[in-house]
Amino acid sequence: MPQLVPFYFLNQLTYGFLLITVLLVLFSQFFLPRILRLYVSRLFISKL
Amino acid sequence: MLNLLNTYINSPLDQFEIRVFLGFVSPFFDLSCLSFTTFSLYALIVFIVIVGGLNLLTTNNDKIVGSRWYVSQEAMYDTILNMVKGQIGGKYWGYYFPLVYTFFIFIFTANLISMIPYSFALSAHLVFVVSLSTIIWLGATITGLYKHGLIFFSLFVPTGTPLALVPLLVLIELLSYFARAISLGLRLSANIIAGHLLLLILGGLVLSLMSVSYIYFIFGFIPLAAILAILCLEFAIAVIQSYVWSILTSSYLKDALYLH
Amino acid sequence: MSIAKSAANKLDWASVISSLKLTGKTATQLTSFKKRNDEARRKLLELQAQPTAVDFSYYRSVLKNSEVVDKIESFYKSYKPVTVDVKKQLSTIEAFESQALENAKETEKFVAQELKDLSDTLKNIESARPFDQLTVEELAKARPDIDAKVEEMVKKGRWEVPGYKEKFGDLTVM
Repeated sequence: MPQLVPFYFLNQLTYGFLLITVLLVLFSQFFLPRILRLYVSRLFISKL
Repeated sequence: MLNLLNTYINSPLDQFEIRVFLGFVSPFFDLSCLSFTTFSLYALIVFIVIVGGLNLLTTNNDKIVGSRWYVSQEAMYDTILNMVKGQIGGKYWGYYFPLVYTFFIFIFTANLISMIPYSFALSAHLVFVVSLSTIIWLGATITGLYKHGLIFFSLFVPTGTPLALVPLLVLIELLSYFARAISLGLRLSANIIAGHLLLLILGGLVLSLMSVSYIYFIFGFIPLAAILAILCLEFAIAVIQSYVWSILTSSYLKDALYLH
Repeated sequence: MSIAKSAANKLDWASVISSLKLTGKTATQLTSFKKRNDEARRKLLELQAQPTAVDFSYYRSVLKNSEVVDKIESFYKSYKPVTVDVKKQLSTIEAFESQALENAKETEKFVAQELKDLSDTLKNIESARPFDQLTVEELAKARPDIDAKVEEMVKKGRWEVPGYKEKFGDLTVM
């Protein structure tokens, strides 16, 4: 199978884990807190 | 192997082939792991779609009142939140929510992008996906050992086992625990590989059937409709597999954190 | 003393109460003070109307024991009404008055500030855009505690806002 050619193993792992790491940082630092902030603001406004 | 001009697909497995677009050469180091390949290209596409499309452009213009488009984000947030909370629970579930969310959104996007005809399936690459699942399993195991010490091994003895059966059951449980490392990734990859191969093979068959004569062309729409149904099924599998991956990751983390 | 008396006589309580537009505790305090004042004035009048001279010769003719009458007369003659030094009290009252004035001024300032705040809020409400145009950024700027709360929640791994689900529903798909 072409996806089992060992020549590309490290290439796949490099780019795959780079992608996952960057996504994890972006999500936990920016994107998910933004949704949380939206939820907190909504709740705050509804309690005024 | 580098066969960019031949757009005709020769073998059903050609769709998984990785090609080098841009290689780096150094006399001292092997930089082949940094070459820009099909895999890198699709990783970049997935990154752009997730970060640009789903997060930077889908900001609801920072409004407080949501819109129909923004419901997608909120629904994903709520779904994964409830899933992680239901699976892990306790007081630690919140710390693992971003991790599970990242896995979900990555596999979800990669699977759906792979459903575009003539595109490339990131999650069909066993080496990458099984590495990922092994790392999750390893991380969960280390977390469990760190948190519980040797008590962690009580995970392998189900409650209420007769003493005589304990050695056998520990063996079986240990085996199933080690199998998790492979099975998590294999489940996803095998589903995606099988789906893409099936569609391609069936499509090729219907193509040759319909190109025989006009009568075959007309009757060929019946198997084509079946392929369409399978295509819908593949979309469902693409979504469900990402959900299954997230739910199993959470459940493994729960085992490590709370021991049953 | 006489000035104070004339002032007290001249004081028109009804107009004072109505012009100050006082309500609640202050008003009841003022009316109770007025009642005390009225009582004191009435007592004073009553006492002034009573005769003060005592006819000792009559008692001497009636009573056999004139010695007692002599004694009482001498007591009576020697009795002098005690003059109360009200100066001190007046100064206390004055000090109290100045204090009260200061207090009142402060209260006035406070009330004015509050009124300004309220009018500002009213202006804000009047000029505020509807909810569907309000952005999270503006709200966070107005209330920095929202951002602080979010940061703390993220740090503590609490991704669920308590009470949100009950209010806005749950968009869980599966």
